[in-house]
Amino acid sequence: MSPSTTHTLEHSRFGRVELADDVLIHCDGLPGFPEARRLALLEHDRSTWFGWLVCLELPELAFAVADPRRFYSDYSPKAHLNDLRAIGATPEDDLDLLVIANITGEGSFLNLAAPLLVNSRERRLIQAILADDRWPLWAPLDSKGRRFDPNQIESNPHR
Amino acid sequence: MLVLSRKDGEAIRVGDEIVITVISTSAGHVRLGIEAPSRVTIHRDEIYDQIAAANRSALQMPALNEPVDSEEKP
Repeated sequence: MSPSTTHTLEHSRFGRVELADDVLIHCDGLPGFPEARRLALLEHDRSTWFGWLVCLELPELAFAVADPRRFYSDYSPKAHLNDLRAIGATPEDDLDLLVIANITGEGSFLNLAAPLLVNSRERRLIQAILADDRWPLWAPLDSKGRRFDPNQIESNPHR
Repeated sequence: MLVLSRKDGEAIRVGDEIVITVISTSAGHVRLGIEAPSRVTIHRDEIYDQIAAANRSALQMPALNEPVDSEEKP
């Protein structure tokens, strides 16, 4: 593929999104979504706290993702060496860290038990399942007294 | 599903590289030792299932289905 190749994602909610090769992030499946291979992070149009993770193989997929340290400043997941190897990284590498947000009728939560590790140099991502149980799968988003308004994540991410 | 009986200290081999040994058993509880290449990831099944369920749940965000409004960024 040439570097200028563009992929079109026909998203069921966002409509047509054009993704150049060099913005794609590669993964080897996500838990629950083994088909996921080519992902992209889209900026949110109105929220600086959240972005969208979309997937070329699964046009219906759109995770709201966030920098967990905006909400849990002490978040320091210890990834397994295998997970680092899978994205071509070593423990010395500085990886980008994101988590998936779960916005439910009962509240909003961050999945701190299985963060997304992104090796931006290699453009590879893995959802790492942490070996310890220190970080919850359903960590409330308003733990720092910063209440989260689900309305801020609706709307089109791609204007 | 293949079903085998094993005693404490006995093992099964999966392929050339993976050996699962029964370390000990007690009432309703089995302690297993797993030797596998470092590229093989090993998780308790229910933990993996919980992560997968949370991922699927994360797509069910009601806010996504509501109409776009015109509020500004916080």
